[in-house]
Amino acid sequence: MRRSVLFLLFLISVRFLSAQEEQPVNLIYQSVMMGVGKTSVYDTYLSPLNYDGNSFGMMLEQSKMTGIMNGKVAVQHLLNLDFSHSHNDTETASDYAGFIEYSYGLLYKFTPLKRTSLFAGMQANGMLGFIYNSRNGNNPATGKVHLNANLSAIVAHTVSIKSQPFRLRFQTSIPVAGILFSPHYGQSYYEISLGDSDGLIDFASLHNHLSMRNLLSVEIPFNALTLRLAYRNNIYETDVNALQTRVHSNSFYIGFSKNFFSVPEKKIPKDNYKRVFE
Amino acid sequence: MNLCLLCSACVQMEDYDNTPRGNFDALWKIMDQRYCFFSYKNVDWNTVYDKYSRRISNYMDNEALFYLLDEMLQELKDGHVNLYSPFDVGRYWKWFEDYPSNYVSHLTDEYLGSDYMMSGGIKYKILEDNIGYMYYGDFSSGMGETNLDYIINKLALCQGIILDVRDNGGGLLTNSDKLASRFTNEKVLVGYIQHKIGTGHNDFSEPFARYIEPSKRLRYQKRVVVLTNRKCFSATNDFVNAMRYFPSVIILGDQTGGGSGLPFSSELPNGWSVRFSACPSFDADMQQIEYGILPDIKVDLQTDDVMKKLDTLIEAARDLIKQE
Repeated sequence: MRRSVLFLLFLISVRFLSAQEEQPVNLIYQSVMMGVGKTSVYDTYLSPLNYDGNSFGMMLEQSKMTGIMNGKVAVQHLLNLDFSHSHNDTETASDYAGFIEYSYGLLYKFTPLKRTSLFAGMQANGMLGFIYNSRNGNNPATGKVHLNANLSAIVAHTVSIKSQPFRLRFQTSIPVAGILFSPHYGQSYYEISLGDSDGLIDFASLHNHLSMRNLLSVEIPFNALTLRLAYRNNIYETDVNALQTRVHSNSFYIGFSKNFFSVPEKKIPKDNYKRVFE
Repeated sequence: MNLCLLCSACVQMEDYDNTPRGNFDALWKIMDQRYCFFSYKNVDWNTVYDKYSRRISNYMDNEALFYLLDEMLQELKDGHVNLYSPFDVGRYWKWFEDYPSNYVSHLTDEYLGSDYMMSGGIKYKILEDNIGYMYYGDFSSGMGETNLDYIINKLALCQGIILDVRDNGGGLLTNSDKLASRFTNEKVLVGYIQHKIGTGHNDFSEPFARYIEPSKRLRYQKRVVVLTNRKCFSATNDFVNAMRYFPSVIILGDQTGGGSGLPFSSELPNGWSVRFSACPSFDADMQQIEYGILPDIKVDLQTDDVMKKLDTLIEAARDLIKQE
C-alpha cells in the first residue's frame, strides 16, 4: 500500500513538472542604448528665435509579457535621458536643454503573421526637463513637466538573411490627454517662488500639446548579447499660456539588448521560452 | 504634415529676416507684446513704429541700425530697457543723470576708514558714536543668511544703524527680500506684482500680494535709517519700498531712481540682445513706483560738507538716531 501511494505521488509530481515545463517561459527583454543627433529648440519664453545644435541621449528599456488577458499583454518600461546644446543662427547665445522621461506601458499583442507582432496600448508617461538660455537675465530658464496618457503602438518583425536573424521594430507614442506645467506668458519664476501658482498646471491634449516619440531599431543577435541600432525621432511641441515650445530631434543610437530568465535556468529547457518581440 | 492638420498644437515658428527691416520689426514686436508699461507711460507704440519705420533702410550699416533702434527704445524712458550689441549698449539713464548724485564714494571711505569689515558684499563698521554703518552697493553680491547673522550680531548693541544703499543699481530681488526680513518683527504687506498673460498691452494677471516675513534668525530691533539717492534702482527701489513699511525704518536722502518692472531678456535675428520691463511691481497701495520712491526726509549732499569731508546724509542720519 505504501509503495503504491509513493508511486502515485511520483507520477503526480512528474506530471506536474511536465505540465510546468510545457508552458513556455516569458523572457524579460532589456536594452540600453546611447545616441547622438541633431536638435532644434524653440521656446518663446526665452527667445523668439530657433536654436539648432547637437543632442546626446540615453535610452533604457525593459519589456516582458504579463499574465494579463491570457498572457497577451506586455508591460514596457522606457526611460529616456536627453541633453542638448544649441545656439542661435548668429551663435551669440546658447540653449542647454535636459529632459528625463519615463513611460510605463501596457500593450496588447497581436500576431497576425508568423514572424510579425503588433502591439497596441497605453502608456503612463511623465517628463521633467528644462531649457536654459545662457544670455537671459530674469527669464534664464523654463521648466518642462508633464504627465500624460499616451497611445502607443509597436510593429516587430524578424527577417533572416543567410540564417542571420535581424529583428526590426518600430514604436510610436503620442499623448492624448494629461497635464503639463507652464508659467504664464510674462510670468517670472521669482513670482512663482512667491507662491503665485494659479493656472500653472494646464490640461493637455492634442489642442495644445503634441509630442511624438518614434523609434526604428534593428537588433542583430550575436553570442550572448544582441547589438541594437536605432533611429529616434522626437517631437515635443506645446502651445500653452500664449507660450510656444518646439523641440525636435533626430538621433542615431547604438547599444545592446538581452533577453533573460527571471527564474533559475536549470528549471527551464533551453528551447522552451518566448521573447516579447517575436 | 497630416498629423499637423489634425493637431492645433503644432507650433509655427516666427520667421524673421536678419536684415535691418527684419531686426527692426522683430524688436518692435518683442516690445509690443512683452513690455509692461505702455499704458502707464501713455506711449503709443504704433505711432512709434510709424515714426521709426520710415527711417529703416536695408542699406544702413549695423551702427546706424543700432542707434536708430536705441533711439526708438528711448521713447519708453525706462532704465530697464537696454539694447546690447558687440560694440555698444543702448541705455536710458536720465533717471539719475538729470539729478544730483548725493553720493561721493570717497566720503563714505572716510567713514569706513581701512578697518571696516566686509561680509556678503556689505561693508560695515561701528562709528565712533556707537552707530552702525552698513554700505551695500550691489544687490547682485552674494549675501547669505550667515553673513547677515554676523553683521546684525556685530551691530546689535549699536544705538541704531545707517543702511546706505546709495548708488546701488539693483540686482537680485531675493537679496532685497532677505535683507529686508532682518528689520521687521511682523509679516508686512509691501506691494504687489503682476505679469502679462497675453500679448495685449493691458493683458495683466490679477495683482499678487508681496509680503516680507520676519527672518527666523537674528533681527535688528532699533532705529534704521536707509540712505537713498537717484541711483537706487530696480531691486534697490524694491528694497526701499519694503523698508518704508517697517515702523523702525526711516528713508533719508533723495528720491530713488525707480525701475519697478522686473526685466526680461530677448534677442534679435542679428544676435543683439534686448532687455525690457516685463512684470510691473506696485507699492502696498497699488501705486506705481516705476519713477521712484520719495524719502521720508529729503536731504541733499551739501558742498560745504563735502569740502569738510563730511557726508551730509550720513551726518543727518546720525543726528536722527542720536535724537531718539
